Amino acid sequence: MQKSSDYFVLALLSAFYLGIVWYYQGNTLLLLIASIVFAVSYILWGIFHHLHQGNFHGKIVLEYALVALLGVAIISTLLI
Amino acid sequence: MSLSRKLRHWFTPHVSNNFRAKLLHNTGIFALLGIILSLQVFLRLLEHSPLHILGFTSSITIDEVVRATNETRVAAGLPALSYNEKLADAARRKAANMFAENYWAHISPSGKNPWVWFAEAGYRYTFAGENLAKDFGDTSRMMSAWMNSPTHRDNIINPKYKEIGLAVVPGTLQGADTVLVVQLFGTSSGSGGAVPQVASAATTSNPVPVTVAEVKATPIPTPAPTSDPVINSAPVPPRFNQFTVSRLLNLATTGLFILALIIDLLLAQSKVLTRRVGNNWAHIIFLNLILLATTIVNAGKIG
Repeated sequence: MQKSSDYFVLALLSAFYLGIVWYYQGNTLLLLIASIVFAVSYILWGIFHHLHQGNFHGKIVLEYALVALLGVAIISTLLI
Repeated sequence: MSLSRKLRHWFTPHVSNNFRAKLLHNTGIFALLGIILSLQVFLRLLEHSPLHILGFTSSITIDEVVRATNETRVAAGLPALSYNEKLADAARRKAANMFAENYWAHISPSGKNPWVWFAEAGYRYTFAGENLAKDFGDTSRMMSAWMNSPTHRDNIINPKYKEIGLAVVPGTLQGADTVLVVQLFGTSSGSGGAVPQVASAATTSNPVPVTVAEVKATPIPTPAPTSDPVINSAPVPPRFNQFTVSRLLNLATTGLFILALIIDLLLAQSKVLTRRVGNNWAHIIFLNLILLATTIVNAGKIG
């Protein structure tokens, strides 16, 4: 139950991000900010998710941070 | 190490990589990040090199933009706009001035508002408006961006306008190759008696479209015949589009990473591996959303 609520939060974050991307597709600065906020939210989501799962570890936080950074790098190279 | 062993090491959970695909280790992700950023730096250097392999390409033409604008108006129950050569001349003058003064706004750094170009082209108006766009590869994406912006959409489907003029001009603006689109709307002073309204033009880095212009109290002099500003409505000579190449490279590298996540997930489940690692499903969802966003975002900007 706890796990499914985690995924529900991730789905909400995703829907919010996609909505911003769709509506403001011509506004470079706003898209960049939205992508960074989404990436930071994803790291926080990862931390809470693994705390809920009971398998939290510093290396996992680093993994989420790197994946989030990868996402920001991919979108920012197209926006900047 | 043979190729198959290398692939197994990088993409599948195995004893050689502590039962986690090497690409998904923090060092692997860091290496991928380095590769993506290095490729982007290389592309930017290539874009600015004299080789002209990469650059900005666009298929936008005046005919296409006029057709798309009129189709949008007809769909909204409004009459189509007629193409006016004086308005087109004003649009070309505006575009030439933007390149000359190197700005992206409705009002030039020297204080010239959009209506200066109407006057110079000899177009007298009761209503007038201006939409700007740059960096778009095709007409449909540019039209979508305009229609998604309430202020630009208001210009396109404004029932007060009767005529349209356009300039599609390639050039270098603020250090980057681009194709600048200036779309001017108007109702000539002879064709209507509407009450004049005040313009809302403002100089911003992200300009907003001007909707309705003030009617000039003083007569607008017809300019002496001059040679046209630098005009070229033909598409930019074919080159690889830097934005498209960047997008493809990002899609390929991220696709590879997602593939590794999927393979790792399936094999870990089939072998019932217990590992303290990040959630592959979450990574797949996050990165697919980013990829989806990269397909939605436009290279272009509107003003």
